[in-house]
Amino acid sequence: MSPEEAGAGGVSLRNVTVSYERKPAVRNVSVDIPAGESVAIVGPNGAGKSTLIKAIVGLVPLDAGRILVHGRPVKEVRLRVAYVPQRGTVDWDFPVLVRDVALMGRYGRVGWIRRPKRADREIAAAALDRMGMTKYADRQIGALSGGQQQRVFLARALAQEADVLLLDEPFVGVDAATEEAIFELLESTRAEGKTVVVVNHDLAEVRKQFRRVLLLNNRVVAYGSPEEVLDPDLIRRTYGGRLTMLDVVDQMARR
Amino acid sequence: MSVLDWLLDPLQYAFMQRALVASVLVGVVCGVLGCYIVLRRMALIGDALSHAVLPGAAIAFMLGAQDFFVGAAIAGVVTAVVIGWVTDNSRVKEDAAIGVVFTGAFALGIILITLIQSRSVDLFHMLFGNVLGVEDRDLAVTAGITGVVLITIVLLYKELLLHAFDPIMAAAIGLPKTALHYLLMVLLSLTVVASLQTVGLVLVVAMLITPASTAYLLTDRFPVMLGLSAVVGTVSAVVGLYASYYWNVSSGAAIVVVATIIFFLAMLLGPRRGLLVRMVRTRRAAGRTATEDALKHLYALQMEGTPLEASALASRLGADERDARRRMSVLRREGLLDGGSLTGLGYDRAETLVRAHRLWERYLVEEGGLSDEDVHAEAERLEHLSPGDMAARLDLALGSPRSDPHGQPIPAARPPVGNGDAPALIDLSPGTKARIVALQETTPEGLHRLADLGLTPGTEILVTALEEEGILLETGGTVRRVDRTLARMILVATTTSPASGRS
Repeated sequence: MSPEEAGAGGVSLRNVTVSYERKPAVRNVSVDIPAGESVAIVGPNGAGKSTLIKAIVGLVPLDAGRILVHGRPVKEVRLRVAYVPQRGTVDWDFPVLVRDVALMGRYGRVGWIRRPKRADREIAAAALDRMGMTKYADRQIGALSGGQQQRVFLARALAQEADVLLLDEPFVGVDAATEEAIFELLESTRAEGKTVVVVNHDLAEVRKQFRRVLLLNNRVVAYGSPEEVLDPDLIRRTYGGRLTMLDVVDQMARR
Repeated sequence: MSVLDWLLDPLQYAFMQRALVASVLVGVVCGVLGCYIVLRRMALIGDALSHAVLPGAAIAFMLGAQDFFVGAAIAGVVTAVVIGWVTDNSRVKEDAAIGVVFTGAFALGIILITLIQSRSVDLFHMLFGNVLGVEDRDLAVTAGITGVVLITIVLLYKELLLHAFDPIMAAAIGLPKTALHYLLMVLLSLTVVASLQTVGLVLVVAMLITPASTAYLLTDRFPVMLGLSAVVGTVSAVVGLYASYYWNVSSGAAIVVVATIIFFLAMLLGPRRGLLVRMVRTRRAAGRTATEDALKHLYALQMEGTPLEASALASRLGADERDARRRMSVLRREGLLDGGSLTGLGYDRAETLVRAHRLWERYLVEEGGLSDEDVHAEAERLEHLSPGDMAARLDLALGSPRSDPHGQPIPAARPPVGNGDAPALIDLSPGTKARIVALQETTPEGLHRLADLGLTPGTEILVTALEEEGILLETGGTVRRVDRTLARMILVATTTSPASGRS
């Protein structure tokens, strides 16, 4: 470990470039997310938000640059990172129950070949309880609404007991109860000093819920507190005059 | 000959004992491994690998190797690698790549086997199995492979489960995706070898896919699926074995036919998702529609002042009198009809139906541009499918019309006692002021959540905006967002509405 990295908590990206289907989706991104911060990544479709998150988790190879989590390559600290991908990446007909899915959050810590112990089951059950999903524990996952499915996957991430939490568009297509559950989760994880990175669209919520905002459109447009960053000019630059602009203005006005 | 004799007699022969053991082993190992193949959607690759082991086995024979299964397993893995390589390095997609590679390998295998046929290798038996010809050495191979495959699956249970269910998370926690994929390919190739003598390599894919698919239809739990699949595989293999013994038919074919029959039985008769159960459910819904139709016509008769008799109902329904009488007795049982007149409840229910019907007609004419003559049949169907708040929404969209397109009056909505005919929050346009009159939400959590939001009966609200995800409203000086599901549960009485309706 070099001196500059010693003791560095959180997530640090240096000159990160990542390709998605052979086109660069993220270009030269350098961002420091200190431990315990909550960051919203905001940008139009195709801006590379999901790719950036996947790069932090180590799911896509970097073309250039370096990502460190708590001062180390993510491969060495996988147990400290939990990731909730966008909904719809799994087969909802798969024969697993809600509590089986929550227990999967423990697999990384249990380790190869060993079986989850009672303590693991208790942690998974507590995570489900925290997301208000206890009474659905014995349901097959396909029998849930979209919001409930999202809560199950959040519970699974909680059960991982990671201190870096990465959520990709958790608010898409969920009901009010789930939205509330997610906000509570964000608040409590922040209180526990965890680092949270969320891909989000709703600018009004971003302003209220996050301490830092990263405006991304393949490269970093701006990064800082919501007051600094959520400026109509910067937002226009992020969204590049697309029609989504209208939504943005609407959301700003509604606040 | 008793059934027991029929079953036990063959077992006095050593070859039959070996065949029985082999069948059980193959049923179990194919059933268990098959679950992963089915859930990972690798049925096609399973078929490919089973054919592609042939050249490997042939080369092993040519080299004089005793353990031809090693050659077969190597051929299986090489095929899997080549398929991946073709997919990654050409514009050919995976299914075509599979087709190219496995047919080529299979053809090569046939040529090699034909060349060495003189030396104790029977191509027909390799292709279609010959369970009655299983020898001790074959049995040892089958048992050894079954042991290896089952032990691997037990040890790596959670890794393989996560890999099958959510490969993204599996990769995120550091499980080696490629290694697990090729591990499954090795297990698959070994299983094919273990099954060669029993079902043959042409049909082994059926033993991998069919019992697992049967189990998939019947359960929502993965461990149960593994067990059920093993049981179905074993039963198929043993029944097929007896068929092969008594009728001298190909053992592989007999086993697969039995497995297929079990699959279709499960599909038809399955307790939850079986077609029969679904048919009964549909019929029940049809029965309800028939009863509701009868109720509506009785209502019309009562309005005309015609006595409610089965003959009058029959002529209106275009049905025979016995049918009409049966429907009337159903209505009596449900307390909607009492002697010669509709009960209060029956009257309310009928009016709700008539209201939905006429509102739908009006809607279809005004919004759908259908002609007056066409709408009746469509409205007839829709009225039975309308959820509680549908009529209120139609009413609002149409600006509370008084009559249907044929000029008949539309009955007024039932009073808002939570029966769903009062407008719900979701029906309101921005700018509308309203008072909450009732909540249809009945779960304790739901009511609790509404109370937390300050949305209780008697609360005054102002709708400020409609969004994709929900409704923004102001109450007591704070802005709340209510999602659409919840907004349907909140019944309101409008106090002022904006100039234009929401149509």
